[in-house]
Amino acid sequence: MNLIFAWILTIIIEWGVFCLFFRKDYLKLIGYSILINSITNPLLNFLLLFGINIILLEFLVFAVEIFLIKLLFDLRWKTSAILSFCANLSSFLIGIALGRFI
Amino acid sequence: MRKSILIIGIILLAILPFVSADIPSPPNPTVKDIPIENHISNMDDFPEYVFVVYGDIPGMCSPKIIDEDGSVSGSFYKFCVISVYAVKKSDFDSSILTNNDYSQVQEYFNSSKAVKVIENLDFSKTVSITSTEDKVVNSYNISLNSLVPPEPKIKRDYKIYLYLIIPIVAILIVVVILSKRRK
Repeated sequence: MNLIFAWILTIIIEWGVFCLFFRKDYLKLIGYSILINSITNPLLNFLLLFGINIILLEFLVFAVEIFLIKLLFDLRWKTSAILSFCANLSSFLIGIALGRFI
Repeated sequence: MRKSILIIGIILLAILPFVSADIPSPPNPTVKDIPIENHISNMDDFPEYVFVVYGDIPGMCSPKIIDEDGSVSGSFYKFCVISVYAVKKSDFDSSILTNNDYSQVQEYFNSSKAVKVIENLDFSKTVSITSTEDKVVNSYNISLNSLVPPEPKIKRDYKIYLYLIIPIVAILIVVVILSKRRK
């Protein structure tokens, strides 16, 4: 249940960031957000079980998402990196904030 | 010059998460520690015995007598491997509780006077921050003839396969999308 909650939450947050960035094709954006986060989010939670540092894992997720965003959205590397950074920072900070209240 | 500073900076950033030595880990926002209450449920069956909880690191995990209600409490150094021993009241030497000669203490618990009845007790457990669990209660039914096995450290949860299946399916879909695009 926790995994699914974290997964859905990350998809929604990153979709919001993608929507702010592109301001069109919202349905396609949610599809891409589902795909990207279905690769990175479960793997992050899986590796967390082994006690790997969360900051290091977030850095890895950021790197993998640059690659996925570049491929799926067909953007330049620099733009992909900025988008990945914004999306991951938002989901990380909102996740921490919610974790303290739930 | 700038390039070498950048490389050193990246190497330092990569190493820093692993440099912890014996320093307590910084708070991990995704997990929390909850206490484990250990309890011996059938202590009344052994009125002629004293039960002592003891770790195996000299000076770090001093022996303590377990309360008559069977609750095993105490704070021990994190690397102590905590066990519970049964000692006949007639053989029990209370000076062992305050003895600073650690080799003597170790020898005493390794002797035939002390019977190990529970091994590898844990006093805390790490769970997800969103877990509703606030404590774990482990109840042990001991026997002087057999050692109670340690609680399983990892409970097999088959949902763990979801963590791997979901990314594999997503990667396949991405590959299909990209290959269709190229056509």
